[in-house]
Amino acid sequence: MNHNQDLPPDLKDALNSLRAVPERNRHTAALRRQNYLASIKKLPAQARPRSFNISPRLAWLAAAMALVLVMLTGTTITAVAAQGSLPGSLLYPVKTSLEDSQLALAQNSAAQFSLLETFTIRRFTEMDTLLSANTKLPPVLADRLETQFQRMTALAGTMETPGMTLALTSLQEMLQERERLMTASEGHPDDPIYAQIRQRVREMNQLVSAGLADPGQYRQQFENQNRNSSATPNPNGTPGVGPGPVGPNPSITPGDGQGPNATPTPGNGQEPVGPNPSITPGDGQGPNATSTPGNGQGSGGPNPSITPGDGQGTNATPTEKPGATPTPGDGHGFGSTPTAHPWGGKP
Amino acid sequence: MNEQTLLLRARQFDQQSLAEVYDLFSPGLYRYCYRLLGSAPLAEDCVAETFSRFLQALYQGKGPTQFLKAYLYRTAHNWIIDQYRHKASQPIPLENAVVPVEPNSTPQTAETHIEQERVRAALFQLTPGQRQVIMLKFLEEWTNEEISLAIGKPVPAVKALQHRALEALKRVLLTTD
Repeated sequence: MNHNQDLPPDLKDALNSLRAVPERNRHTAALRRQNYLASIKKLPAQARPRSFNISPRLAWLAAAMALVLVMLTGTTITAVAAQGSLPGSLLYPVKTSLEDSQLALAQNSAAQFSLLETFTIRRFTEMDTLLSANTKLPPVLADRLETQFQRMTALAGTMETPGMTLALTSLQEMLQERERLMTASEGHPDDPIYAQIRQRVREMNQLVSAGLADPGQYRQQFENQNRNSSATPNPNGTPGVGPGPVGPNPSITPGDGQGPNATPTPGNGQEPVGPNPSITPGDGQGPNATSTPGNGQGSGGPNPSITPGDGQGTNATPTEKPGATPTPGDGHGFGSTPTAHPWGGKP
Repeated sequence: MNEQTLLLRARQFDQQSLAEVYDLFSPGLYRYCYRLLGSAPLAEDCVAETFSRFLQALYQGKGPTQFLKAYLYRTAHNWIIDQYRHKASQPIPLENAVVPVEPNSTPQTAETHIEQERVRAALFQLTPGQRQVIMLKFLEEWTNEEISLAIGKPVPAVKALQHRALEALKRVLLTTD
Protein backbone atom coordinates (compact mmCIF):
# COMPACT_ATOMS: atom_id res chain seq x y z
CA MET A 1 0.00 0.00 0.00
CA ASN A 2 1.41 3.35 -1.00
CA HIS A 3 0.46 6.24 1.23
CA ASN A 4 2.38 8.79 -0.77
CA GLN A 5 -0.84 10.34 -1.99
CA ASP A 6 -1.40 11.53 1.59
CA LEU A 7 1.91 13.35 1.51
CA PRO A 8 2.16 17.01 0.66
CA PRO A 9 4.20 17.43 -2.56
CA ASP A 10 7.02 19.26 -0.85
CA LEU A 11 7.50 16.40 1.61
CA LYS A 12 7.11 13.57 -0.87
CA ASP A 13 10.54 14.03 -2.44
CA ALA A 14 12.20 14.57 0.90
CA LEU A 15 10.89 11.36 2.40
CA ASN A 16 11.38 9.39 -0.78
CA SER A 17 15.07 10.17 -0.53
CA LEU A 18 15.15 7.82 2.45
CA ARG A 19 13.32 5.03 0.70
CA ALA A 20 16.35 3.64 -1.09
CA VAL A 21 18.39 1.37 1.14
CA PRO A 22 21.70 -0.07 -0.07
CA GLU A 23 21.88 -3.82 -0.32
CA ARG A 24 22.65 -5.46 2.96
CA ASN A 25 26.07 -6.99 3.27
CA ARG A 26 25.36 -10.70 2.98
CA HIS A 27 28.38 -11.76 4.93
CA THR A 28 27.54 -9.46 7.83
CA ALA A 29 23.90 -10.49 7.74
CA ALA A 30 24.86 -14.19 7.83
CA LEU A 31 27.23 -13.59 10.71
CA ARG A 32 24.57 -11.75 12.69
CA ARG A 33 22.10 -14.52 12.03
CA GLN A 34 24.58 -17.10 13.29
CA ASN A 35 25.06 -15.11 16.46
CA TYR A 36 21.32 -14.96 16.96
CA LEU A 37 20.91 -18.71 16.45
CA ALA A 38 23.76 -19.36 18.86
CA SER A 39 22.09 -17.27 21.51
CA ILE A 40 18.85 -19.21 20.97
CA LYS A 41 20.67 -22.47 21.69
CA LYS A 42 21.95 -21.09 24.96
CA LEU A 43 18.41 -20.52 26.16
CA PRO A 44 16.95 -23.08 28.57
CA ALA A 45 13.97 -25.14 27.55
CA GLN A 46 11.77 -23.29 30.01
CA ALA A 47 11.42 -19.62 30.62
CA ARG A 48 13.27 -18.43 33.65
CA PRO A 49 10.99 -17.46 36.50
CA ARG A 50 10.79 -13.72 36.93
CA SER A 51 11.69 -13.74 40.56
CA PHE A 52 15.15 -15.11 39.74
CA ASN A 53 15.86 -12.01 37.79
CA ILE A 54 15.92 -9.80 40.89
CA SER A 55 19.28 -8.24 41.52
CA PRO A 56 20.97 -9.10 44.84
CA ARG A 57 20.45 -5.57 46.15
CA LEU A 58 16.75 -5.73 45.33
CA ALA A 59 16.55 -9.17 46.89
CA TRP A 60 18.00 -7.83 50.14
CA LEU A 61 15.61 -4.92 50.08
CA ALA A 62 12.68 -7.23 49.45
CA ALA A 63 13.80 -9.51 52.29
CA ALA A 64 14.16 -6.56 54.68
CA MET A 65 10.76 -5.23 53.73
CA ALA A 66 9.21 -8.65 54.18
CA LEU A 67 10.80 -8.92 57.63
CA VAL A 68 9.51 -5.51 58.67
CA LEU A 69 6.08 -6.44 57.36
CA VAL A 70 6.07 -9.69 59.31
CA MET A 71 7.16 -7.87 62.47
CA LEU A 72 4.55 -5.17 62.06
CA THR A 73 1.83 -7.66 61.27
CA GLY A 74 2.91 -9.86 64.16
CA THR A 75 2.93 -6.93 66.56
CA THR A 76 -0.48 -5.80 65.40
CA ILE A 77 -1.93 -9.28 65.71
CA THR A 78 -0.44 -9.65 69.19
CA ALA A 79 -1.78 -6.25 70.26
CA VAL A 80 -5.25 -7.06 68.99
CA ALA A 81 -5.19 -10.49 70.59
CA ALA A 82 -3.99 -8.98 73.88
CA GLN A 83 -7.05 -6.73 74.08
CA GLY A 84 -9.19 -9.68 75.03
CA SER A 85 -6.72 -11.16 77.49
CA LEU A 86 -7.45 -11.53 81.19
CA PRO A 87 -5.18 -11.09 84.20
CA GLY A 88 -2.92 -14.06 84.57
CA SER A 89 -2.88 -14.86 80.89
CA LEU A 90 0.24 -14.74 78.74
CA LEU A 91 -0.82 -11.68 76.77
CA TYR A 92 -2.03 -9.65 79.74
CA PRO A 93 1.29 -7.81 80.17
CA VAL A 94 0.98 -6.73 76.52
CA LYS A 95 -2.44 -5.33 77.27
CA THR A 96 -1.24 -3.38 80.30
CA SER A 97 1.83 -2.16 78.42
CA LEU A 98 -0.42 -0.81 75.70
CA GLU A 99 -2.46 0.97 78.33
CA ASP A 100 0.71 2.49 79.78
CA SER A 101 1.67 3.66 76.31
CA GLN A 102 -1.73 5.25 75.86
CA LEU A 103 -1.31 7.03 79.17
CA ALA A 104 2.14 8.25 78.21
CA LEU A 105 0.70 9.72 75.04
CA ALA A 106 -2.19 11.48 76.76
CA GLN A 107 -1.70 15.21 76.50
CA ASN A 108 -2.87 16.45 79.88
CA SER A 109 -3.98 15.40 83.33
CA ALA A 110 -7.65 15.37 82.41
CA ALA A 111 -7.01 13.06 79.47
CA GLN A 112 -4.89 10.80 81.64
CA PHE A 113 -7.54 10.73 84.32
CA SER A 114 -10.19 9.84 81.79
CA LEU A 115 -8.04 7.02 80.42
CA LEU A 116 -7.37 5.73 83.90
CA GLU A 117 -11.09 5.66 84.59
CA THR A 118 -11.59 3.63 81.44
CA PHE A 119 -8.84 1.24 82.46
CA THR A 120 -10.31 0.91 85.95
CA ILE A 121 -13.67 -0.03 84.51
CA ARG A 122 -11.78 -2.51 82.36
CA ARG A 123 -10.19 -4.02 85.47
CA PHE A 124 -13.59 -4.41 87.10
CA THR A 125 -14.90 -6.07 83.95
CA GLU A 126 -11.94 -8.44 83.97
CA MET A 127 -12.69 -9.21 87.58
CA ASP A 128 -16.34 -9.96 86.78
CA THR A 129 -15.32 -12.18 83.88
CA LEU A 130 -12.89 -14.16 85.99
CA LEU A 131 -15.38 -14.54 88.82
CA SER A 132 -18.15 -15.65 86.50
CA ALA A 133 -15.79 -18.35 85.26
CA ASN A 134 -15.12 -19.37 88.88
CA THR A 135 -11.48 -18.41 88.49
CA LYS A 136 -9.54 -17.13 91.44
CA LEU A 137 -8.49 -13.52 91.03
CA PRO A 138 -4.77 -13.20 90.44
CA PRO A 139 -2.80 -10.66 92.52
CA VAL A 140 -1.79 -8.84 89.34
CA LEU A 141 -5.34 -7.59 89.00
CA ALA A 142 -5.30 -6.06 92.48
CA ASP A 143 -1.84 -4.60 91.87
CA ARG A 144 -2.89 -3.02 88.63
CA LEU A 145 -6.07 -1.64 90.13
CA GLU A 146 -4.16 -0.18 93.05
CA THR A 147 -1.68 1.52 90.74
CA GLN A 148 -4.54 3.05 88.81
CA PHE A 149 -6.25 4.24 91.98
CA GLN A 150 -3.05 5.90 93.11
CA ARG A 151 -2.47 7.59 89.80
CA MET A 152 -6.02 8.86 89.66
CA THR A 153 -5.96 10.32 93.16
CA ALA A 154 -2.58 11.90 92.45
CA LEU A 155 -3.70 13.32 89.12
CA ALA A 156 -6.80 14.81 90.69
CA GLY A 157 -4.54 16.51 93.23
CA THR A 158 -2.67 18.30 90.48
CA MET A 159 -5.81 19.76 88.90
CA GLU A 160 -7.44 23.11 89.46
CA THR A 161 -10.46 22.98 91.73
CA PRO A 162 -13.17 22.80 89.04
CA GLY A 163 -11.30 20.06 87.17
CA MET A 164 -10.52 18.22 90.35
CA THR A 165 -14.13 18.33 91.48
CA LEU A 166 -15.26 17.06 88.12
CA ALA A 167 -12.70 14.26 88.12
CA LEU A 168 -13.39 13.19 91.69
CA THR A 169 -17.15 13.30 91.16
CA SER A 170 -16.80 11.06 88.15
CA LEU A 171 -14.55 8.69 90.04
CA GLN A 172 -16.90 8.71 93.01
CA GLU A 173 -19.82 7.72 90.81
CA MET A 174 -17.86 4.81 89.41
CA LEU A 175 -16.64 3.68 92.79
CA GLN A 176 -20.05 3.99 94.43
CA GLU A 177 -21.61 1.95 91.68
CA ARG A 178 -18.92 -0.70 92.03
CA GLU A 179 -19.26 -0.75 95.80
CA ARG A 180 -23.01 -1.10 95.46
CA LEU A 181 -22.56 -4.05 93.09
CA MET A 182 -20.04 -5.72 95.34
CA THR A 183 -22.23 -5.23 98.37
CA ALA A 184 -25.33 -6.46 96.57
CA SER A 185 -23.66 -9.64 95.43
CA GLU A 186 -22.97 -12.35 97.89
CA GLY A 187 -19.29 -11.86 97.30
CA HIS A 188 -16.60 -14.42 97.11
CA PRO A 189 -15.46 -14.91 100.65
CA ASP A 190 -13.01 -17.59 99.66
CA ASP A 191 -11.18 -15.24 97.36
CA PRO A 192 -8.78 -13.00 99.30
CA ILE A 193 -8.05 -10.77 96.31
CA TYR A 194 -11.74 -10.10 95.88
CA ALA A 195 -12.00 -9.12 99.52
CA GLN A 196 -9.03 -6.81 99.19
CA ILE A 197 -10.45 -5.13 96.12
CA ARG A 198 -13.74 -4.67 97.85
CA GLN A 199 -12.02 -3.10 100.82
CA ARG A 200 -9.99 -0.81 98.58
CA VAL A 201 -13.05 0.32 96.69
CA ARG A 202 -14.66 1.27 99.96
CA GLU A 203 -11.56 3.13 101.10
CA MET A 204 -11.19 4.91 97.82
CA ASN A 205 -14.81 5.98 98.07
CA GLN A 206 -14.13 7.55 101.43
CA LEU A 207 -10.97 9.21 100.20
CA VAL A 208 -12.73 10.71 97.21
CA SER A 209 -15.58 11.91 99.40
CA ALA A 210 -13.07 13.65 101.63
CA GLY A 211 -11.43 15.23 98.60
CA LEU A 212 -14.75 16.53 97.38
CA ALA A 213 -15.52 17.93 100.81
CA ASP A 214 -12.32 19.95 100.92
CA PRO A 215 -10.52 20.20 97.59
CA GLY A 216 -8.00 22.68 98.97
CA GLN A 217 -6.85 20.36 101.67
CA TYR A 218 -6.77 17.49 99.19
CA ARG A 219 -4.56 19.43 96.80
CA GLN A 220 -2.27 20.67 99.55
CA GLN A 221 -1.72 17.14 100.66
CA PHE A 222 -0.60 16.15 97.17
CA GLU A 223 1.63 19.15 96.87
CA ASN A 224 3.36 18.12 100.08
CA GLN A 225 3.57 14.64 98.77
CA ASN A 226 5.12 15.82 95.50
CA ARG A 227 7.66 17.90 97.40
CA ASN A 228 8.62 14.89 99.42
CA SER A 229 8.86 12.65 96.42
CA SER A 230 10.91 15.21 94.49
CA ALA A 231 13.36 15.30 97.38
CA THR A 232 13.88 11.59 97.05
CA PRO A 233 14.11 10.88 93.37
CA ASN A 234 12.74 7.61 92.24
CA PRO A 235 15.59 5.54 90.85
CA ASN A 236 13.20 3.51 88.77
CA GLY A 237 12.00 6.54 86.98
CA THR A 238 8.46 5.58 87.71
CA PRO A 239 6.40 8.70 87.83
CA GLY A 240 5.29 9.48 91.33
CA VAL A 241 1.76 8.53 91.19
CA GLY A 242 0.54 10.19 94.24
CA PRO A 243 -0.05 9.79 97.79
CA GLY A 244 0.96 6.27 98.28
CA PRO A 245 -1.30 3.53 99.26
CA VAL A 246 -4.26 4.46 101.18
CA GLY A 247 -4.90 2.08 103.92
CA PRO A 248 -3.45 0.50 106.92
CA ASN A 249 0.24 0.90 106.65
CA PRO A 250 2.13 -1.33 108.97
CA SER A 251 4.82 1.27 109.36
CA ILE A 252 2.37 3.65 110.81
CA THR A 253 1.17 3.34 114.35
CA PRO A 254 -2.41 4.21 114.14
CA GLY A 255 -4.16 5.58 117.06
CA ASP A 256 -2.45 7.48 119.75
CA GLY A 257 -4.19 5.88 122.64
CA GLN A 258 -3.54 8.87 124.79
CA GLY A 259 -3.90 8.24 128.44
CA PRO A 260 -3.52 10.81 131.13
CA ASN A 261 0.22 10.61 131.15
CA ALA A 262 0.57 10.49 127.52
CA THR A 263 1.85 13.47 125.77
CA PRO A 264 -0.99 14.63 123.67
CA THR A 265 0.55 14.39 120.30
CA PRO A 266 -1.65 15.80 117.66
CA GLY A 267 -2.05 13.48 114.84
CA ASN A 268 -1.51 9.86 114.78
CA GLY A 269 1.02 9.46 112.13
CA GLN A 270 -1.53 9.45 109.40
CA GLU A 271 -1.58 12.34 107.10
CA PRO A 272 -4.65 14.45 107.40
CA VAL A 273 -7.28 14.25 104.83
CA GLY A 274 -8.94 17.36 105.90
CA PRO A 275 -11.10 18.72 108.52
CA ASN A 276 -13.66 16.18 109.30
CA PRO A 277 -15.53 17.63 112.21
CA SER A 278 -17.37 14.46 112.89
CA ILE A 279 -14.20 12.66 113.70
CA THR A 280 -12.45 13.05 116.97
CA PRO A 281 -9.07 11.50 117.02
CA GLY A 282 -8.34 8.97 119.61
CA ASP A 283 -9.33 10.25 122.94
CA GLY A 284 -8.13 7.49 125.18
CA GLN A 285 -10.81 8.14 127.73
CA GLY A 286 -10.42 6.45 131.00
CA PRO A 287 -8.42 3.51 131.96
CA ASN A 288 -11.03 1.00 131.18
CA ALA A 289 -12.51 2.66 128.28
CA THR A 290 -12.59 0.76 125.10
CA SER A 291 -11.09 3.46 123.16
CA THR A 292 -10.71 3.57 119.48
CA PRO A 293 -7.42 5.19 119.33
CA GLY A 294 -6.89 7.21 116.26
CA ASN A 295 -9.02 6.52 113.32
CA GLY A 296 -6.53 7.79 110.87
CA GLN A 297 -8.86 10.30 109.43
CA GLY A 298 -6.39 12.99 109.98
CA SER A 299 -6.00 14.63 113.23
CA GLY A 300 -2.76 16.41 112.85
CA GLY A 301 -3.74 19.12 110.46
CA PRO A 302 -3.67 22.70 111.42
CA ASN A 303 -7.35 22.76 111.77
CA PRO A 304 -8.22 24.26 115.05
CA SER A 305 -11.61 22.66 115.05
CA ILE A 306 -10.05 19.35 115.61
CA THR A 307 -8.95 18.57 119.07
CA PRO A 308 -6.13 16.19 119.18
CA GLY A 309 -5.96 13.55 121.77
CA ASP A 310 -6.95 15.13 125.00
CA GLY A 311 -5.24 12.76 127.32
CA GLN A 312 -8.17 12.32 129.61
CA GLY A 313 -8.21 9.60 132.12
CA THR A 314 -5.70 8.49 134.59
CA ASN A 315 -2.81 6.22 134.28
CA ALA A 316 -4.13 5.05 131.06
CA THR A 317 -1.64 3.41 128.91
CA PRO A 318 -3.66 2.52 125.94
CA THR A 319 -1.50 -0.24 124.72
CA GLU A 320 -1.58 -1.89 128.10
CA LYS A 321 -5.10 -1.09 129.04
CA PRO A 322 -6.95 -4.16 130.10
CA GLY A 323 -9.81 -4.77 127.84
CA ALA A 324 -8.84 -2.11 125.46
CA THR A 325 -9.09 -3.16 121.92
CA PRO A 326 -7.18 -0.66 119.99
CA THR A 327 -8.45 -0.70 116.48
CA PRO A 328 -5.93 0.61 114.11
CA GLY A 329 -6.91 3.56 112.08
CA ASP A 330 -8.50 2.73 108.85
CA GLY A 331 -5.83 4.55 107.03
CA HIS A 332 -7.81 6.94 104.97
CA GLY A 333 -5.09 9.51 105.11
CA PHE A 334 -2.68 9.90 102.25
CA GLY A 335 0.45 10.20 104.22
CA SER A 336 1.69 6.74 104.13
CA THR A 337 4.87 5.83 102.41
CA PRO A 338 4.38 5.55 98.68
CA THR A 339 6.41 2.41 98.48
CA ALA A 340 4.26 0.55 100.91
CA HIS A 341 1.58 -1.60 99.47
CA PRO A 342 -1.68 -1.89 101.26
CA TRP A 343 -2.21 -5.50 100.30
CA GLY A 344 1.23 -6.62 101.08
CA GLY A 345 1.91 -7.15 97.44
CA LYS A 346 4.30 -5.38 95.23
CA PRO A 347 4.20 -1.63 95.43
CA MET B 1 2.37 -20.40 9.74
CA ASN B 2 0.83 -17.09 10.70
CA GLU B 3 2.46 -14.52 12.96
CA GLN B 4 0.47 -15.41 16.07
CA THR B 5 1.23 -19.13 15.83
CA LEU B 6 4.87 -18.34 15.23
CA LEU B 7 4.94 -16.16 18.32
CA LEU B 8 3.29 -18.84 20.46
CA ARG B 9 5.90 -21.39 19.44
CA ALA B 10 8.70 -18.90 19.89
CA ARG B 11 7.48 -18.27 23.41
CA GLN B 12 7.88 -21.99 24.05
CA PHE B 13 11.53 -21.65 22.96
CA ASP B 14 11.03 -23.64 19.81
CA GLN B 15 14.34 -23.01 18.09
CA GLN B 16 12.95 -23.45 14.59
CA SER B 17 10.24 -20.86 15.27
CA LEU B 18 12.72 -18.43 16.78
CA ALA B 19 14.89 -18.74 13.68
CA GLU B 20 11.83 -18.19 11.47
CA VAL B 21 11.00 -15.03 13.39
CA TYR B 22 14.45 -13.71 12.61
CA ASP B 23 14.30 -14.58 8.94
CA LEU B 24 10.85 -13.09 8.59
CA PHE B 25 11.42 -9.75 10.23
CA SER B 26 15.13 -8.96 10.14
CA PRO B 27 15.26 -7.69 6.50
CA GLY B 28 12.44 -5.20 7.07
CA LEU B 29 13.90 -4.16 10.40
CA TYR B 30 17.27 -3.62 8.79
CA ARG B 31 15.75 -1.28 6.21
CA TYR B 32 13.80 0.57 8.86
CA CYS B 33 16.91 1.03 10.98
CA TYR B 34 19.06 2.04 8.05
CA ARG B 35 16.58 4.68 6.91
CA LEU B 36 16.65 6.28 10.29
CA LEU B 37 20.30 5.78 11.08
CA GLY B 38 21.90 6.11 7.65
CA SER B 39 24.58 3.63 8.60
CA ALA B 40 24.81 -0.05 7.66
CA PRO B 41 26.84 -1.15 10.74
CA LEU B 42 24.49 0.76 13.04
CA ALA B 43 21.49 -0.75 11.30
CA GLU B 44 22.99 -4.23 11.81
CA ASP B 45 23.59 -3.41 15.47
CA CYS B 46 20.02 -2.21 15.78
CA VAL B 47 18.64 -5.46 14.33
CA ALA B 48 20.90 -7.59 16.50
CA GLU B 49 19.97 -5.64 19.63
CA THR B 50 16.27 -5.80 18.81
CA PHE B 51 16.34 -9.58 18.59
CA SER B 52 18.55 -9.84 21.62
CA ARG B 53 16.02 -7.85 23.67
CA PHE B 54 13.25 -10.03 22.27
CA LEU B 55 15.01 -13.21 23.42
CA GLN B 56 15.81 -11.69 26.79
CA ALA B 57 12.18 -10.73 27.30
CA LEU B 58 11.03 -14.26 26.46
CA TYR B 59 13.65 -15.66 28.82
CA GLN B 60 12.26 -13.54 31.64
CA GLY B 61 8.72 -14.64 30.89
CA LYS B 62 7.87 -11.24 29.46
CA GLY B 63 7.78 -10.13 25.84
CA PRO B 64 4.88 -9.95 23.42
CA THR B 65 1.94 -12.29 23.49
CA GLN B 66 0.56 -10.89 20.22
CA PHE B 67 1.44 -8.39 17.49
CA LEU B 68 5.02 -9.55 17.21
CA LYS B 69 5.86 -7.27 14.27
CA ALA B 70 4.66 -4.19 16.13
CA TYR B 71 6.70 -5.24 19.16
CA LEU B 72 9.90 -5.68 17.13
CA TYR B 73 9.61 -2.32 15.39
CA ARG B 74 8.81 -0.59 18.64
CA THR B 75 11.88 -2.16 20.23
CA ALA B 76 14.03 -1.11 17.29
CA HIS B 77 12.68 2.42 17.44
CA ASN B 78 13.45 2.66 21.15
CA TRP B 79 17.00 1.47 20.51
CA ILE B 80 17.43 4.14 17.84
CA ILE B 81 16.18 6.82 20.22
CA ASP B 82 18.67 5.64 22.83
CA GLN B 83 21.44 5.74 20.23
CA TYR B 84 20.46 9.20 19.12
CA ARG B 85 20.37 10.52 22.69
CA HIS B 86 23.73 8.93 23.42
CA LYS B 87 25.19 10.40 20.27
CA ALA B 88 23.72 13.84 20.98
CA SER B 89 25.20 13.89 24.47
CA GLN B 90 28.72 13.31 23.15
CA PRO B 91 30.86 15.92 21.41
CA ILE B 92 31.21 15.28 17.68
CA PRO B 93 34.80 14.70 16.59
CA LEU B 94 35.99 17.01 13.82
CA GLU B 95 36.31 14.20 11.28
CA ASN B 96 32.67 13.27 11.85
CA ALA B 97 31.40 16.83 11.68
CA VAL B 98 31.13 16.63 7.90
CA VAL B 99 28.70 14.30 6.20
CA PRO B 100 30.47 11.08 5.25
CA VAL B 101 30.35 10.41 1.57
CA GLU B 102 30.95 7.00 0.07
CA PRO B 103 34.24 6.67 -1.76
CA ASN B 104 33.96 6.61 -5.53
CA SER B 105 30.60 8.34 -5.30
CA THR B 106 29.36 10.50 -8.10
CA PRO B 107 28.21 14.06 -7.49
CA GLN B 108 24.64 12.82 -7.81
CA THR B 109 24.97 10.16 -5.11
CA ALA B 110 26.74 12.65 -2.89
CA GLU B 111 23.85 15.04 -3.32
CA THR B 112 21.37 12.28 -2.49
CA HIS B 113 23.36 11.43 0.58
CA ILE B 114 23.34 15.03 1.75
CA GLU B 115 19.59 15.22 1.20
CA GLN B 116 19.08 12.01 3.20
CA GLU B 117 21.06 13.41 6.09
CA ARG B 118 19.05 16.61 5.97
CA VAL B 119 15.76 14.70 6.12
CA ARG B 120 17.03 12.46 8.93
CA ALA B 121 18.12 15.49 10.88
CA ALA B 122 14.66 16.97 10.35
CA LEU B 123 13.01 13.74 11.46
CA PHE B 124 15.02 13.70 14.66
CA GLN B 125 13.68 17.14 15.47
CA LEU B 126 10.20 15.65 15.70
CA THR B 127 8.88 13.91 18.76
CA PRO B 128 9.57 10.14 18.86
CA GLY B 129 5.89 9.42 18.22
CA GLN B 130 5.68 11.78 15.25
CA ARG B 131 8.87 10.35 13.79
CA GLN B 132 7.65 6.79 14.22
CA VAL B 133 4.33 7.51 12.54
CA ILE B 134 6.00 9.10 9.53
CA MET B 135 8.52 6.29 9.17
CA LEU B 136 5.97 3.49 9.49
CA LYS B 137 3.30 5.15 7.38
CA PHE B 138 5.22 6.68 4.50
CA LEU B 139 8.36 4.54 4.31
CA GLU B 140 7.29 1.15 5.68
CA GLU B 141 3.80 1.51 4.23
CA TRP B 142 1.96 0.38 7.33
CA THR B 143 -1.74 0.93 7.81
CA ASN B 144 -3.05 3.15 10.60
CA GLU B 145 -4.25 0.04 12.45
CA GLU B 146 -0.77 -1.51 12.36
CA ILE B 147 0.77 1.75 13.51
CA SER B 148 -1.73 2.00 16.35
CA LEU B 149 -0.56 -1.42 17.57
CA ALA B 150 3.09 -0.43 17.30
CA ILE B 151 2.80 2.82 19.20
CA GLY B 152 0.02 1.73 21.53
CA LYS B 153 -2.42 4.48 20.60
CA PRO B 154 -5.88 4.36 19.00
CA VAL B 155 -6.27 4.95 15.30
CA PRO B 156 -7.74 8.48 15.63
CA ALA B 157 -4.74 9.41 17.76
CA VAL B 158 -2.47 7.98 15.09
CA LYS B 159 -4.18 10.15 12.47
CA ALA B 160 -3.87 13.23 14.60
CA LEU B 161 -0.26 12.43 15.30
CA GLN B 162 0.41 11.94 11.61
CA HIS B 163 -1.14 15.30 10.81
CA ARG B 164 0.95 17.12 13.39
CA ALA B 165 4.06 15.18 12.32
CA LEU B 166 3.71 16.25 8.68
CA GLU B 167 3.15 19.85 9.69
CA ALA B 168 6.19 19.80 11.93
CA LEU B 169 8.36 18.10 9.34
CA LYS B 170 7.34 20.58 6.69
CA ARG B 171 8.13 23.44 9.01
CA VAL B 172 11.55 22.02 9.90
CA LEU B 173 12.52 21.19 6.32
CA LEU B 174 11.42 24.54 4.97
CA THR B 175 13.29 26.36 7.74
CA THR B 176 16.50 24.53 6.95
CA ASP B 177 16.17 25.11 3.20
